[in-house]
Amino acid sequence: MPTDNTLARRTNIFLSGTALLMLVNLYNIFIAVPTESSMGIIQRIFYFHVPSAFVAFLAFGVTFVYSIRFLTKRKLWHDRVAYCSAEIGVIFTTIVLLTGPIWARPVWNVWWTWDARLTSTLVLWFIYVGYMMLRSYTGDEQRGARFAAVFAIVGFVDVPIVYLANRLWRTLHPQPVIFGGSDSGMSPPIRNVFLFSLVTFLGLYLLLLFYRLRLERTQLELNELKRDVAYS
Amino acid sequence: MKFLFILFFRLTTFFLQTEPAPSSMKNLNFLFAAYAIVWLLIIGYLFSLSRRQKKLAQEIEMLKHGHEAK
Repeated sequence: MPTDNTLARRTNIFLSGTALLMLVNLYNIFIAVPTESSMGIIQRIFYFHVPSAFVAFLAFGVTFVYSIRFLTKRKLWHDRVAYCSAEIGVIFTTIVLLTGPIWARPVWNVWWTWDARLTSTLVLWFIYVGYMMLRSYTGDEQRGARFAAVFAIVGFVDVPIVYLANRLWRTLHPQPVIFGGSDSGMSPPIRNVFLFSLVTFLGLYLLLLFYRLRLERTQLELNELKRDVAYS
Repeated sequence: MKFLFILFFRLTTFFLQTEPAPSSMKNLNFLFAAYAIVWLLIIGYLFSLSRRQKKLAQEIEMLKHGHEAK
């Protein structure tokens, strides 16, 4: 078991590493990468908007996996990991839903349109906000965790729908530039900066998950202590 | 550097709108708004986690001291 000092040092290294990655990322986005020719500088939202969506999918994927693990092994810690990851997923989906319209307004001339990609993303946000509310409103911990796990597993169905929406239906949202058709893709400088941003956002997700799980562990410790005090 | 200079210029004249933006710098206000929202959300969430962590740690300390005093 690492001591408190070792843990604090590791936490600081992790935090500093992510902050450094973010600084380099900002340098890449605002200075290094050339301005895209058709949309101009507004296209730079892409480097935060798309990685946020990828990280949100990953976060909900973790919730999905840990919900299954909770239902099979009945360990409450698995449910806690699922919940923490969902909370972070909601933060990143919120970023996607807010930066998207800001990008859309000057390019499409509308803030919002009810096309398949945008609508399914909004539905995804509602599903996981509902998941979090369900957790808060169910009194019994085990029962609430069970309901929430089932809800998270069913809700995850929307993630592939969001991902495939602009492949399956005609949408105003741009066609995929990653794993798209033969005419899709990015120029090397844009691709490199995008990939770097993706790695940075992945680091940010892990950092947030680490802090959120630490909080959850402290909460469990407090609950245990309260029980001990009550019984003594 | 040119980009940074123009960014600084646009931010200082954000409310005044005295000069029309160069064509490549069009929509800088939208870009600024998008990045501000991203940072507000991330920093706000980190701040809330840290505040909750401190509160729980204080509660644990209080309980431990109270228990030892008995």
